[in-house]
Amino acid sequence: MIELLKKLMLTHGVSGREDKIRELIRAQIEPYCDEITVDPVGNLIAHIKGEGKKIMLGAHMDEIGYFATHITEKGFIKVSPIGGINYLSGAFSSVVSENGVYGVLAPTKTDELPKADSVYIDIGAKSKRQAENKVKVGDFFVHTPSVKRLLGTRYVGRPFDDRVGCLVLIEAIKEIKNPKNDLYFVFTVQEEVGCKGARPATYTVEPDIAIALDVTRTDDKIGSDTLNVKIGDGPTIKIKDASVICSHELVVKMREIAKANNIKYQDEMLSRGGTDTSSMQIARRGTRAGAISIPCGFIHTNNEMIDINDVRGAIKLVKALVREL
Amino acid sequence: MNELTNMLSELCAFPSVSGRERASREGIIALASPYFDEIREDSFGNLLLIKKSARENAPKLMLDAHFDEVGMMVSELHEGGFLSVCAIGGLDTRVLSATEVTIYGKREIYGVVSSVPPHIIGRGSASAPKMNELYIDTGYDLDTLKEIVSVGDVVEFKAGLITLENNRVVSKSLDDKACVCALITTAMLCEADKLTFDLYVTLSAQEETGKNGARLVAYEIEPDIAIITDVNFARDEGVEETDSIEIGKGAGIDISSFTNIPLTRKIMQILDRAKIPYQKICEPSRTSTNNDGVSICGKGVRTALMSIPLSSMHTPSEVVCLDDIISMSRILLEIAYTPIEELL
Repeated sequence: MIELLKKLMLTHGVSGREDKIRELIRAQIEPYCDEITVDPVGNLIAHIKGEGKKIMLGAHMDEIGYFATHITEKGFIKVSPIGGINYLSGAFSSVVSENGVYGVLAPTKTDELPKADSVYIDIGAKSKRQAENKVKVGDFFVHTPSVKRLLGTRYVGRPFDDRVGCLVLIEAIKEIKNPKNDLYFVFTVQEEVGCKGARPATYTVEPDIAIALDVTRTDDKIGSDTLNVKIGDGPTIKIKDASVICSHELVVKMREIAKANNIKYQDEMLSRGGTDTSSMQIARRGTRAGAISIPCGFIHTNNEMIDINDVRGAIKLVKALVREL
Repeated sequence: MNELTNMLSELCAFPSVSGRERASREGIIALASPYFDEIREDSFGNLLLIKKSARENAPKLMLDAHFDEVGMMVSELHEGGFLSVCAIGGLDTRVLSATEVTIYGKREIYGVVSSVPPHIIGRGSASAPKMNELYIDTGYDLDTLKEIVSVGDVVEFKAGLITLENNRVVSKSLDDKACVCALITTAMLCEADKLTFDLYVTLSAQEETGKNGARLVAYEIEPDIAIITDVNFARDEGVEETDSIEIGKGAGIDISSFTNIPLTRKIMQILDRAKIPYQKICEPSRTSTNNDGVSICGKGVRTALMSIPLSSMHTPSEVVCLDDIISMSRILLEIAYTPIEELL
């Protein structure tokens, strides 16, 4: 499982450019699914047939990053942010382009927090021409991915958001045999730029119940204001975040199923941030929607932190839900 | 007028914080069912009340008012029986301190939002508190409180309806129960053989937290015309004339690029001809009501927007005038009796 997590994290895929990560996920799940399609916006939709309720589970494939917008005379690359970049973490750190060109995200001023228009990427080029040989306008960059183990069951690196959600679904898919319910697993595009992919995916699938798998902020890390969620205390069942109030009936049912299966979970009330749940809830005439989150420290930095036991708990919870909902 | 006050009072008392409107489903069905032919609900929490015209294949007129209200949700339980809460919808936090609230746990309990006495807070520092600085005192010890209240339970203002002079009333939740009341009154008054439309009254969910309910139910209905009703700012001290309508002078009709202009004009002509008074209010682009989503849902819907003037929005003490509710019903009735050809 850790090996697959590493593969998922080291494969680039900025919002709108999820092709490589999509192919990786597709190859992993293809043997276990009855049907796999890619919709026009790029969502990967996998179907495992069953007779009961139509249940959709989703995780987003995309990650935050940058698009190159302009190359200066001196060979520096100006970029535009894709998703919610944390410049405090991003400044002076390593980035890599879709073609494997490394660079440093450098701020133009060092005495204040950098902003989108006061950073550029230095790939070591001596001139515009040299830079243009390596990077074209429109190429994407991400902060260099990594995965490292810390003490015990904790891991640090990027982008756990939301490759860890993809991992949960992939592992669940591998273990589900002849399900009672009719299951759809969607790996969505463009969550980081406004939960865009999940809406057409939900429109297409038209599920009775939709559940997103994503990461959530925690309150045991410096500078966090989230209430009650801790890394290592189990996956969360989301009640609300800034983008959605989850279906109350579904939340109650998810809690019951978690308790009945002795799966440790946390209540999640997130004051900031959103998830695909919001888009799933409002497709067509509306869907009963909820979310399971993996507690994650330092979200959107180069060192996101998770506990692998929370991932194991989430896999168990997903398997219990598709069986018992 | 007494009947109207009673209905409004009952509507406002229903717990209906955004996302948990379903808690009042049975109450609202009992209240409204005598006036409708069919009642449906959907997965999002919207209620759809249908009153059929005596005519076959009548076009569909959707009348929307949102059923949810602003409130709070429990986020943490503390020693000493205190609760932390987060805001659901755009609460006016300036008036939260020392407010009485009802907490909907396993059973209803009461609490008071904490406040710092004026003697201590001193001059010049009375800014609006942040939600994470407020605590609700329930009086319980933590262990007992844990048995009753869970994270995610909703909290509402505890404020019953009071009558003022000149047919004005004060209550929590008049945004948008005043319009809900107007829509039910419209259905109550209308005669099926005069109806040129089938009426689809939608009591929509989650207007205060994303305005999604109405457009989901509109997708289901595919109405020929939709009229969205909501409250708007009353012309109080400190409120610009252009942003407001006057309390007691009748319902407002909104003119906006997000509403259907020909439909809006036709409605005004019909009302002028019938000598039914109304107020006008301009909202150049976004109306920040359910109108904006409904107008672009599905293949697109012809919408008009009507308002009831309301004071002290998103507080426990919202004020409306019953005359404006009656005015809205009268206007809607006139529209529901007009052949669709005259409206398009």
